[in-house]
Amino acid sequence: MIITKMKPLDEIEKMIEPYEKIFLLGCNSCAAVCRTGGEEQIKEFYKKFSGKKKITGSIVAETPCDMRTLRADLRLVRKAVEESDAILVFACGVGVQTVAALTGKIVIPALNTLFSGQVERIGVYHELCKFCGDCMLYETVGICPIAICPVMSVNGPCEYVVDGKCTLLPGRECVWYLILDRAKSLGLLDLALRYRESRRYHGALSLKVKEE
Amino acid sequence: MGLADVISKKMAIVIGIRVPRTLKELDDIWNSLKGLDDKFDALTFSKITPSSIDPLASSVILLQRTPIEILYQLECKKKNKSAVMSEVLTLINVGIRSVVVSTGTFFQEEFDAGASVVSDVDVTELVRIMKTLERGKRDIFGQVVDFDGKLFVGLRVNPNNENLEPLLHSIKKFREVGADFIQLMPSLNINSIKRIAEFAKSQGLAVFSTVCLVPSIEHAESLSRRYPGFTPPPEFLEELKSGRADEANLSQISAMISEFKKIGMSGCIIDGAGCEDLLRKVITEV
Repeated sequence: MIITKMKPLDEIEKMIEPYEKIFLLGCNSCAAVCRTGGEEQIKEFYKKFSGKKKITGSIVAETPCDMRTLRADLRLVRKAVEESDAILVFACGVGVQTVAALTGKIVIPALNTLFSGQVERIGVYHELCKFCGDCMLYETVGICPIAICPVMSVNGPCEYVVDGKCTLLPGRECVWYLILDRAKSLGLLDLALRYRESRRYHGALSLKVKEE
Repeated sequence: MGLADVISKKMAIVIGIRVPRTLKELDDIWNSLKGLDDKFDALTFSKITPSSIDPLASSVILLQRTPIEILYQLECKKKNKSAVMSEVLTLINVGIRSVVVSTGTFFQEEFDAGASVVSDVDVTELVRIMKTLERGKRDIFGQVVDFDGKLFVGLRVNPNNENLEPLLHSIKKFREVGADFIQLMPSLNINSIKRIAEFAKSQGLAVFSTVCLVPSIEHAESLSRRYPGFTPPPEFLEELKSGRADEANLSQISAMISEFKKIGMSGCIIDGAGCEDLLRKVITEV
């Protein structure tokens, strides 16, 4: 799940200020779950700004990051989009860029994209993946040290651990204490103790379109 | 004589001074230690403020003035592979051979829990990089490095942990990647220190312990950030409050050093960063 957070209203207002006619585009996937870009948020925004700006229309796209479905969704609101000076997008950065690519319009992000996270409940998310492109979760028994450890140690606890607790992120267990504990109980200690090099962010550094 | 040679003969004494913020400060610190060269075997720079002169530049300047042995603290924090490699190449080219690798120094005010500290390499990998360079005469990019010397490389271990098993696993890994020694961070947990030291020695690693000078209550607070888990005992803090800092430090350091000798430590780092006047008194006496 891509975790997003609404930008401060005054920041959004400043960005939309030069434009008279605005189209609102939400996301029915991740942003809807985070309650930052679903039906409710679009309605709320509509109410707040319809007196100040001309809202040409709105849509909560199924998955704005997917060119195929977004293209189909945009067909339904083509006229309203064409009439607008800018599109205010309530989706992650990928969604915003997909909207820009498909419409050729000025796009304004209403959200800040934070990380890929696990949802515990609305408002409580845990960042568990850094998209390194070289997953080591088998070796680290399902716990990612790159995403969870503040110093990204891939070989064991660092010197900032006191009584098994991370002192850089107070209140948290050291991820390596957790990994080794779980590995021991699963009989995979040797695997977890293997020397490994830091990840090279193959995925993150590649700007190419991958055709699998 | 390098640290590796010193420890084959006796317990080495390394003094820790602060990384200065100006060249004048570096001169002042160094001048205050003049005439005491025979009391210690090496010097290490510790960062005690978020900004200072580059520690490597401080080391180079000092080396230009005096042929001293430097134990360089090489940090992984906020460096990519290229930056790490440049630092390692600079080290070996200016003649620094003893290096302790650490994750980095964190200051409460600069550490933002919301932003991860990006490190391209962790401490274990950094030791491996250095030892691969020593053996293979090539850097991580495959370029030939003109270097014939030996590197004496170690890592920090925090003894302030009840469950030592994960740390012992790490120590084994440190040895596997070629480390020569470990540096135990300051701790009053002698049992933990002993157990780690015995295990490290059984793996063929030399062990350096660390003691730090504590001239004031404020200094004690800043030390607990640099060395997590370290807190001076209450009776020691009482002595500080009653204005007996010099005596309290002298007796504490003497007691710890004699304990370390009993344990068979290869060396002891006396960290006097930020209180170099007291450091002078202590190394004169101890």
